[in-house]
Amino acid sequence: MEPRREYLAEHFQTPAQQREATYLGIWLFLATELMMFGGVFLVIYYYRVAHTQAVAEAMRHLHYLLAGANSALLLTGSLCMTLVVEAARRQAYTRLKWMLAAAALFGLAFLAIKGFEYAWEVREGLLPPGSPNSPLTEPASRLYFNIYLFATGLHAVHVLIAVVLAAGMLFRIHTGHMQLPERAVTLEAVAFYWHLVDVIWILLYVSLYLVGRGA
Amino acid sequence: MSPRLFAVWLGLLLLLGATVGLAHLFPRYAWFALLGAAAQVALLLGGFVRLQDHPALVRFFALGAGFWIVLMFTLTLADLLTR
Repeated sequence: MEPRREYLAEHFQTPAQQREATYLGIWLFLATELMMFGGVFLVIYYYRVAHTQAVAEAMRHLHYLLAGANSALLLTGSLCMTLVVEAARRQAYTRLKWMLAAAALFGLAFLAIKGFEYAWEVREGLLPPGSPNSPLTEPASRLYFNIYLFATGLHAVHVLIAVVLAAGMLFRIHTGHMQLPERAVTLEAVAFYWHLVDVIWILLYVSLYLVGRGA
Repeated sequence: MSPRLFAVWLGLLLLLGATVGLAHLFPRYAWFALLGAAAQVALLLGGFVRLQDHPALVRFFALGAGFWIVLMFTLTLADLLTR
């Protein structure tokens, strides 16, 4: 019997079959993530249509330029993850490790800026949503900050997971616990996750910070 | 880095700048920023994820998630928007 040259789990017959099953699995998972955030987007837009003026008042207190800079960081992190996959295919492992580290750093920078933004909002009395020092007069405006905190907080948890995955893989590759090119498909799965986190942020940013400002 | 990936990244940043600029300069038309976001998502899925190169079954899952969101939005917001 010819020895297997690629990593192949017991229940698969060919690497192509294993790759396709992995892609399908990760896309199924990503679809469930989209469905979960879909509910969050629905709440945001329902609230916006039901309380147009109150939401516009709340939005004028959001730091949209800071969040825009954060979007640029996340998009650049996505580019780094694409370069990780490209480097894995070309077996350029030094470059792959640098790109993984860069992606993790961009994710960490995103989280640091998000934390700074939250701290700024706490100082202004906007967070926590029920703060007695809040400059918002309408109860619906305060509730919008509740939605904002939940949506951005849930997304930040996803960014944190993406950073941990990137840093963990970098460690495992560096210490030889993750063999390449055999496990390259794992890198692709994590890159898909990173891109999904990016897609969610693109939509969250526009929905929470920009749309409805002029109402 | 391949020129294609660099162009995709630059395109994403330009679209981001355009949406922020639109909302900043013309807040009354900030709803159009959604079009910018949709273009960014399409560019990211086509340029970085290469969704078009995946098997049809994978594209079906992506489409299914999108269909779910459209269904949820239209049926729920139909009440508020038709009052």
